[in-house]
Amino acid sequence: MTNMTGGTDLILETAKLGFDIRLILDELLEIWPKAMFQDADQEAGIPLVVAIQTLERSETMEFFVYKDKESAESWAEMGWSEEHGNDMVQFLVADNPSQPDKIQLTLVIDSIVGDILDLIKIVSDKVDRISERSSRINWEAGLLAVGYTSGRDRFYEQVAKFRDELFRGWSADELACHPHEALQFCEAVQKQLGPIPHHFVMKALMNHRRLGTKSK
Amino acid sequence: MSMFHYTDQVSFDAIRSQVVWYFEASQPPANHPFGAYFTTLGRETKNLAQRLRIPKSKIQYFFEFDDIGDLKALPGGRGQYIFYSPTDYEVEKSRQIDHGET
Repeated sequence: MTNMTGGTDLILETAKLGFDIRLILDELLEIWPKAMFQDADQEAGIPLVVAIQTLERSETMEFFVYKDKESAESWAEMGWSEEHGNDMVQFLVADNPSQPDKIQLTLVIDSIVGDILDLIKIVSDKVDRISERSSRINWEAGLLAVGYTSGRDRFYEQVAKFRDELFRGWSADELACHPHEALQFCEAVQKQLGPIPHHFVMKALMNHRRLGTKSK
Repeated sequence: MSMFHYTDQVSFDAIRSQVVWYFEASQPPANHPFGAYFTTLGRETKNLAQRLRIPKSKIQYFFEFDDIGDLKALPGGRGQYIFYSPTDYEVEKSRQIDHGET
């Protein structure tokens, strides 16, 4: 009997809030700088570096990432082969019906060796970071742990004040959408208030904006 | 809905030689459950070999039959279109739709 299904399916879950597959793909370029991207419904692929710029954000998608053009051509011609079997990772992104706030990310690979080992580590680290950022923050404990003792509300106020001083005219959303400036801002806050994690700073900024909106 | 089984010529000849199609369960490579495997992806599906992650030589022939909802979905995203029976699976003539070269 023919085995009609190959590969190993690695199933990851992360928060839907803040999930953007492009952030994960961007990190894959560190492992496969000449990677090719192919939507599962398309005949041909394009360089991953181009795909990241043009890919629409979508909650359900299926695509392949090949190590390079040669691997993509081999897969197109022969399907799976001994030589290039581990040169392609299939990604499937889908909603999780039982947990509406979660995304299920499936990676289909051959075996966990070499580049694939590094690649999985990068993807799972990124997925973990998304989950951590989206999980509810224990503000009091978290701030105390890094030596900030003035409490959450005061922290919100101070972060908002720094934004007014350093990025006058920028909304919290605008700052969040400019990663380099957001990083500069987080580092400036750390210099003033102590080693507070970056996601605490950005979350405080967004929460302060929301609280301000609600009180109007 | 139609269910498909793709295979090479040797297996195709063995299965089609019987009136009742008999798909033998086996242990697939890697982490998949023991079973006989099927898919809802039809013959016209783009990148079929990539999605099933098998050589193109193993999608040269197909069997198509009526799904009666008794197959299990593969865990994960591919469970949208890959299904399996944990034991050998028989398809009676009344459920058989088509078979041949893809």
